[in-house]
Amino acid sequence: MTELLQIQDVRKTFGIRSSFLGRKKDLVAVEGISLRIPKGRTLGLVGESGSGKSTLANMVTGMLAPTSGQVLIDGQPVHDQKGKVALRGESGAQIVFQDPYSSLNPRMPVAQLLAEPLKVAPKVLMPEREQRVNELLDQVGLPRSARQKYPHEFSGGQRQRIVIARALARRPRLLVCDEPVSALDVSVQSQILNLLKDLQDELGLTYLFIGHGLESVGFMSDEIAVMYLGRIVEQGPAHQVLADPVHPYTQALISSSEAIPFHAGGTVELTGEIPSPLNPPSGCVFRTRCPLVTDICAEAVPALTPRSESRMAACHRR
Amino acid sequence: MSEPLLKIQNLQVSATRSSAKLPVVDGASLSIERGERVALVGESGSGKSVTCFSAMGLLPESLQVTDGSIRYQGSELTALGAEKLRRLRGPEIAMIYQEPLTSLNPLLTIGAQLKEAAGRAKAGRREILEMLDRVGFADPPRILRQRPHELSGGMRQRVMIAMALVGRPKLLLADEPTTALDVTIQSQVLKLMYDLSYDLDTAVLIVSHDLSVVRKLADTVHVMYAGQVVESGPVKEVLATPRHPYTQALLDSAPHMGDTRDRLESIPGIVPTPDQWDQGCRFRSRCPLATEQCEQRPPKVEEDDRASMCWHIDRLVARQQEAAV
Repeated sequence: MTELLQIQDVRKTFGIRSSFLGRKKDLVAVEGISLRIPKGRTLGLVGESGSGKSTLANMVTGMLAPTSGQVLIDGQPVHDQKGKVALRGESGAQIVFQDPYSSLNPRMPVAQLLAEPLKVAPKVLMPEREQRVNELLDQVGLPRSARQKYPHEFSGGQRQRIVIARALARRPRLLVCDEPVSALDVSVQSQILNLLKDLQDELGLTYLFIGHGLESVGFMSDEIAVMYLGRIVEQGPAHQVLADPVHPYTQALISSSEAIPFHAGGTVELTGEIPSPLNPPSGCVFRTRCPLVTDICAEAVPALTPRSESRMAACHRR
Repeated sequence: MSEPLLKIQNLQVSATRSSAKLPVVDGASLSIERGERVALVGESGSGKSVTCFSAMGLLPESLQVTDGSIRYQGSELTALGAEKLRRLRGPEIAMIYQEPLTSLNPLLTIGAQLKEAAGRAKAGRREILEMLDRVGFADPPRILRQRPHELSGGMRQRVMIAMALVGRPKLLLADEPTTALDVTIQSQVLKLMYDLSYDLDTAVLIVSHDLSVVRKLADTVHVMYAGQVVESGPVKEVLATPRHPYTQALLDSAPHMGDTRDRLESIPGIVPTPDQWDQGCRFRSRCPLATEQCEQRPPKVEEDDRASMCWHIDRLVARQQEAAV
């Protein structure tokens, strides 16, 4: 099987100054991540805020250049040697943002919003551009009459359809979906998830699907990777990871998503919060919140090792 | 039977737009007993937050209570003057909001803000420190000196809870208190609310769009749709065997753990806006069970402690039994 997206040992650090004259310190946002997504499949990325999911997504779309390692789409590097974006238009990835309220220009009618990406080089000329806008509206299930309307005239779900249509305008093969349904109402969430699945079947799209809700990520994905403080702690086929998690963090995420009533003995699995990436714990980054922690966890960083044919996890204790 | 702590009856809240009245909450009723945890679920525009805000007397100027009553411990809140209402807020009824960052003053220390809240409820420094310890801060005196931007989202929401509960109110209103938080922090904050409500015998009215939040925390649930309460009852029963097609549709449309479905059930169309509301069932344009009968006002069917507004409960139940086999 051919891989459309390959992420090879990617690391991203940001220089942070604690005060105006303070010394520069490296914040490691993403550390040594390797992932691949075969053509037409979906990889789900889960983790709390601060786990580095969005930084990774930004490196795939080209908005950030990795400090080391590289991201390849269909064998082509996203960034050139100097860290400039090398892939554009249909050869690069496009992104569907979380909040359809802030990601659409309120002063542009839909037709213009959708035509905008087509005006960037290589430019699509006018009659064809018009035709493409109609085609996009059909694909995401919006009426042609939407063309002249402005974003405020649409509900949240319809706006997210516009955002998806805009992402599809340049006919990308890879779509990064950054929490595409978390800002939407429950009944609308399912419409958008179904739409994304239909588009994948129809157009043969490949998805990197990011979310913090395990239920929707599990529903969408073939494979799941769980991130914690910039690292992947567990990875494998979605149904296997959710049914039988190896890493204690994955386990904790799953049980916080399961709704057992407190009066029936439901408990809180994870105490405390994700540590600051400016001051990460030594050894295993999860050890400060881990129920299984022992001495070794503070000493050595656990490697991501194979656990069965298709699964990997990074834990000393499991 | 004694009167419940809070009793909202047939509440109508309307927006006045160029002399025309447009109801946004239309005949909502619910009651809360002392120490009870009640959830109000619904989608945006269902009127759940407005219902919650009107119990606090905190409606924006554009909205007015135009009918119905809100009774708190036997006294009518809608008839109470602004000053008397203000005296209830804090010591009797407290509130926490969705976005803890915008509800805290960024310029003041946590201590100053807590002191203000405590002063209204005649609580002192000792109570403040106790409450901060209770909501899980390791070093309460340090938190008092910090400002909101120094805290994470989960910590800010803990501060909000401490601020709301420092006066030991009898009723806590919470408007989507965990929506802005991560799943793991969400369940910490909910557990905290549950424990405190249990220990202090504080009743909670939680507004949420998330059924898993409701399932974890609440004893009783009211499902709102287009300004009306369409179904009420004990959480366990309502979520297991809903008596309104809307509740059923909400349950079916959410993906769950270990979902093997290839597609999700989705509710077609969108929620009707207030100017489209009529006498008939407001869910009928999106309901799989709808018939012509649904154009008439749906009956309120009550059975034990459950109630729902639907013409076709029998067919819904038959469907559930079919699916179970």
